[in-house]
Amino acid sequence: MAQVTIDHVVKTYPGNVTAVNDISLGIQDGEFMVLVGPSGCGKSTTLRMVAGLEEITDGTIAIGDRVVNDVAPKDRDIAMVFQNYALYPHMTVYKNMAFGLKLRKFPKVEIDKRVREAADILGIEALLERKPKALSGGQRQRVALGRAIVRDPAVFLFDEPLSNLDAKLRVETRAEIKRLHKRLATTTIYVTHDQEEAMTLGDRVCVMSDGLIQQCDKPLTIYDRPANRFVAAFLGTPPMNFIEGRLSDDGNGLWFSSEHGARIKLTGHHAERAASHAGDAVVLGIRPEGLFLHPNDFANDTDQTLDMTVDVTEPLGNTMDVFLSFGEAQGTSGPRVTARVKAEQLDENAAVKMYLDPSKIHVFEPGKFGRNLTLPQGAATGELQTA
Amino acid sequence: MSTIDTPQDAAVPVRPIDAMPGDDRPAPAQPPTLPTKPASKRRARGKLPRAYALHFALGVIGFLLFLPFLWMILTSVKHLQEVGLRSWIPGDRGFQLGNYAEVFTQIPFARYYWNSLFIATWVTFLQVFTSSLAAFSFARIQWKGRDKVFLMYLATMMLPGLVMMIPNYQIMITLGLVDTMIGLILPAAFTAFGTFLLRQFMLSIPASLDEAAEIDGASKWRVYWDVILPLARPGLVTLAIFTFMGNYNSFFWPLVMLTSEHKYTLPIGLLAFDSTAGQQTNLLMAAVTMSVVPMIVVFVVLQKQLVKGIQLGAVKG
Repeated sequence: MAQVTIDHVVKTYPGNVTAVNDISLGIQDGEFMVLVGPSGCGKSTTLRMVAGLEEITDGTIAIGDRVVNDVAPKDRDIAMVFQNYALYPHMTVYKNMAFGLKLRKFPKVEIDKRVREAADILGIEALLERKPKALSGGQRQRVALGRAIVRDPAVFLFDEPLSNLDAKLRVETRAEIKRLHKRLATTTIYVTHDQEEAMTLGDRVCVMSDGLIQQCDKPLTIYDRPANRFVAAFLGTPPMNFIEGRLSDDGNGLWFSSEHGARIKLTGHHAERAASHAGDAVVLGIRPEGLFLHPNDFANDTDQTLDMTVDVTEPLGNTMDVFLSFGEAQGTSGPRVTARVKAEQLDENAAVKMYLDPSKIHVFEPGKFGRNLTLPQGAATGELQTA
Repeated sequence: MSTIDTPQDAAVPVRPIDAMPGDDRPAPAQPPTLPTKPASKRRARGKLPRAYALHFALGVIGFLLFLPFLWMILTSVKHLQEVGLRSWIPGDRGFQLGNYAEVFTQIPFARYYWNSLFIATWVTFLQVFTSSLAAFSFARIQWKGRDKVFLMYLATMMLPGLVMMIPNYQIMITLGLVDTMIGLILPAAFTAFGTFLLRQFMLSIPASLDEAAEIDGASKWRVYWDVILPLARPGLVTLAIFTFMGNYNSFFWPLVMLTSEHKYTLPIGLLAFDSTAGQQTNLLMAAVTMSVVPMIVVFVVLQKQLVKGIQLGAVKG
């Protein structure tokens, strides 16, 4: 058991390629921390630095109270699960799991006890004498998990462990990893590019991009209060809608308007926090589930409605995704907007009024990493923080 | 109508492709054959004549390659005076099986046999060992200038062996190893070719296995010994076969190095049957027939390992 402290860590590869650019992160004892981001964002490099498989260019990493920058991987008291499982093909499942203990000179009885315990937890007792090639993908992944847990390490490191499994198995193994973490309560760092995994598994989620931590917080906090436009766009399917426009204060309130005819009044905290940006170019963000058909059900005024045209509908059962564009005719230039609404009959090219839930509106500064102006000052970004 | 029967209808139950957690059934070694697929049957029929033609061609080539071998065996049981006959089969004097015993009386054949096996075995062992160590370093360990050193080592392959013979011989004189077994074994214990072969082989083993082992607590030596070496076995076997055969057959270097008769290897020793005093081709062939036995044994035993192939099932792919 141990906390992991990543303090101003930099990783630069030869040729001056910066993979990780001064990140700081505190992971609590027993916490499940997910690092998520698109490929090349530095998440795997960060994990491999914690594992000791990559050297740290600058900064320090501590496991427990010990700085491990110069400690060999085997002496860091960690276990890692790899994307390709990395089972030893020539050893049986039993030997795969026992290998680490054998190298650490555990007595045979103890090795046997631990391997059988882990096999019991993972339901792989019947496979112990098999070789990896006689196992299915899911079984191999569980053996890889078993190899990690027999060692009873201070920290578990997962490097995209579910990427090679098919969709159904991925969901099941995900649940298994979560159960395992509940049972063992070992500090865990989990790297994935899959936002769904990040949201469902993490006690906290760190969204990374370009070698930087963009936001690190509880999954729902990140979803509901993204620190910047990148985070907002990265999490959620379908992704958040963005409409470029400008803020203006007409004395009667703060309004967002776009050149395509959108005119939305900001209310409550949102209006207060964004007030100082009146006159600035901004980007309005709203998740698909923040849009509703039939404005009259929600409000009688037109302060939060948009006139739009239906392009395509995608029925999903009890809900459907509606792809909309501004203006009257399909194909009009301007931003496309996706709404996830209750399923109903809707004709293509129909003109509809969409209602925007004002509490779900975000206002961002322009640009890929534009700051969320509707959050309180000093909201979580990349600072060293412990939950 | 679908041409593929549903699993319920099939005589052999077809296992679902995705194993569920808790599913302890193994993945089948081969994908289960789905019953009755007319399309694939048609394809198989089309392929048959081609397969026959291929086998016929291979058979002819195989037979041609076997001919010299056959001649060797038949000549080894001919009487000396019948060696020059047109007929391959021994003539009026019949099969001379005594030729084989005669070989042992005319020369210390057993001694040469032992010398050859001793040297070839040691060279094979050392070459596989040193090459695998070097290959491990070139393929699995990062160090400065690694690839340049590898290229330089590889470049030594461009020098013909004969060019290196004189410097090598001088070194052996300096070391006082002329006319010793060690003098035959030592220069052959290292090989750029073997290093190259095994390096390429080791490059195909996923790096995550080393990393997993390292995290498991393995030293570099343990990674080499417990993980990489077992996985590189097909490569090691290939190299072992090449090395053993090459060395067992080697003629010139032992000829240069050895002066004492009791240290002769087979290829040198057999020269006795083809000397200025006269040719005893039948005895020579009897000796050669006996001398190829170890090579055939080595090949047959190791070839099984060779075709077994690498079992990289633990890694996705």
